[in-house]
Amino acid sequence: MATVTPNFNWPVPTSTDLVKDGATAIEALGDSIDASLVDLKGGTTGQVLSKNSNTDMDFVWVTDAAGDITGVTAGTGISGGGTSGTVTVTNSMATAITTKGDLVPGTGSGTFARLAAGSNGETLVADSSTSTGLRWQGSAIGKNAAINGACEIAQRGTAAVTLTAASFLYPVDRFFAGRSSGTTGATAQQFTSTSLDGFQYAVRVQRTAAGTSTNDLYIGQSFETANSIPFANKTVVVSFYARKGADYSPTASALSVRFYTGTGTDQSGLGSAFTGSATPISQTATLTTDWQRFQYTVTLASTAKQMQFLAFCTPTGTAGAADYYDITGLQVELGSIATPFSRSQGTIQGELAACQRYFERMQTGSVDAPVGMGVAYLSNAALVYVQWQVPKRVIPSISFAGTWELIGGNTIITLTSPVVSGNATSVFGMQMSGTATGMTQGNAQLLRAGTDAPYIDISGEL
Amino acid sequence: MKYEIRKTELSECLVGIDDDGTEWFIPKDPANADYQRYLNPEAEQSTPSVTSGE
Repeated sequence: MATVTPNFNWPVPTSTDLVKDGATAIEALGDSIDASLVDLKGGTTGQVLSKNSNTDMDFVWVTDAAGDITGVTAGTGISGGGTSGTVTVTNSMATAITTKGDLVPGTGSGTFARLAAGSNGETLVADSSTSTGLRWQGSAIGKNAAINGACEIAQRGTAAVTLTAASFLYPVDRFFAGRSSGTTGATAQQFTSTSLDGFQYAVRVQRTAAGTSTNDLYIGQSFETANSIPFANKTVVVSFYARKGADYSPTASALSVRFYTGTGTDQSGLGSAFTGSATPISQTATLTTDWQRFQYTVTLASTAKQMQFLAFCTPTGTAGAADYYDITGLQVELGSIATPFSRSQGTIQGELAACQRYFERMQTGSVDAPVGMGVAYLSNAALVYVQWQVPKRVIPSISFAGTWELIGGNTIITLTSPVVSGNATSVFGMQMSGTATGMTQGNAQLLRAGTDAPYIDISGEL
Repeated sequence: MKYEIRKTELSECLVGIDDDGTEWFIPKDPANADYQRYLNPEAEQSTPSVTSGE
């Protein structure tokens, strides 16, 4: 009674089988072993036996793929390695990360460093002055302290203003212009810039052709104390775009650039006369007839409570037809390198509202359009309340132009001699009075625009 | 700018008159820049000037 071996199942006789059957048993065993080991046949010198499938005793002769690595050496960005035994290699950039939000930017060819995450809401910007070329900075919205930096808002109109040393004039909102002496021969005006990507407007400061006055011609922007204090003791970068006209006369095409600070509160006038005046930026930009962006970086004193940007030229000789400089894109921001320009408020409507904190021209643009309501307190005198579109920085000065009408009942009367008393004005609106014969005492009165495009100027400028 | 005090039935107004004749009703508010210039017209800060040269 034959049986099989325990591992390979080769047939073998049992101990009680008859001897006469031994030859048959040996033949069967040999055949079985022969079949099991058939894969061991063949092969060539240097070959090794390899499993051919998961089936028992299924082998195949293959060429030996002997390894030739004798060591592992750590390269750039990797540490560890070795020449024997178990070798460990580690990604050094990964181990540079220690905290959630860490970045590992390059610092040069084959080098890197950890850059910790910024504060909540900050954005990552390129900054060539840092070792990593990157910097976290505050939100882009509101980064620019210069209001109307792109010269878009011109509530006072777009006609050229003749510069005078007597007072500041505003060719566009928030930008004052003037001259060091004299009253004629130079203008400032908003104009449409057609050649600077991203900007529709600029301001042109120009000497009148054939003029010989060489007074400094300046343009600038003052920052009230509330908007200046956030920059105290901080690194600040001031940037703007400028170009010159073909006949620009200043020596070496120079445009002088100043950035003043003061320790007073909301002072008016030029920054050179601020209380505790300092001039952390005093530079000269060299203009060409092509737009260039200029930027200047400085750390302001901790005591700075006011700021003022000023650019001015000093003409020479007799003015040609194009003796001017153009400027736009003023930006004052925290940091050491200028970032792409953005409006101080992000949107044109925000920029207008920001301008109107300082000046507002209330002009309806439509005949008969109302601006206020009031009452006839006498038959020939009325009181009318007019509310500003935006609360003013301070109780404002007020000026009237053109014809205003009162309508009460079915009577329309031209208002004469409008008056505003100081104690009837606030940062929110005014109570104006005026005379107009023919009213009925006690009647409500609507104040509306006449036919000559009247307006009310409301100024809380510095 | 020239100044005048204008009295009405209801109140008294400070009026500043620009060189071009524009009249401004100026509130008697110490924070108002026009009122500051009225109070102290000789103050250096009210006289714009810059120093040329580098």
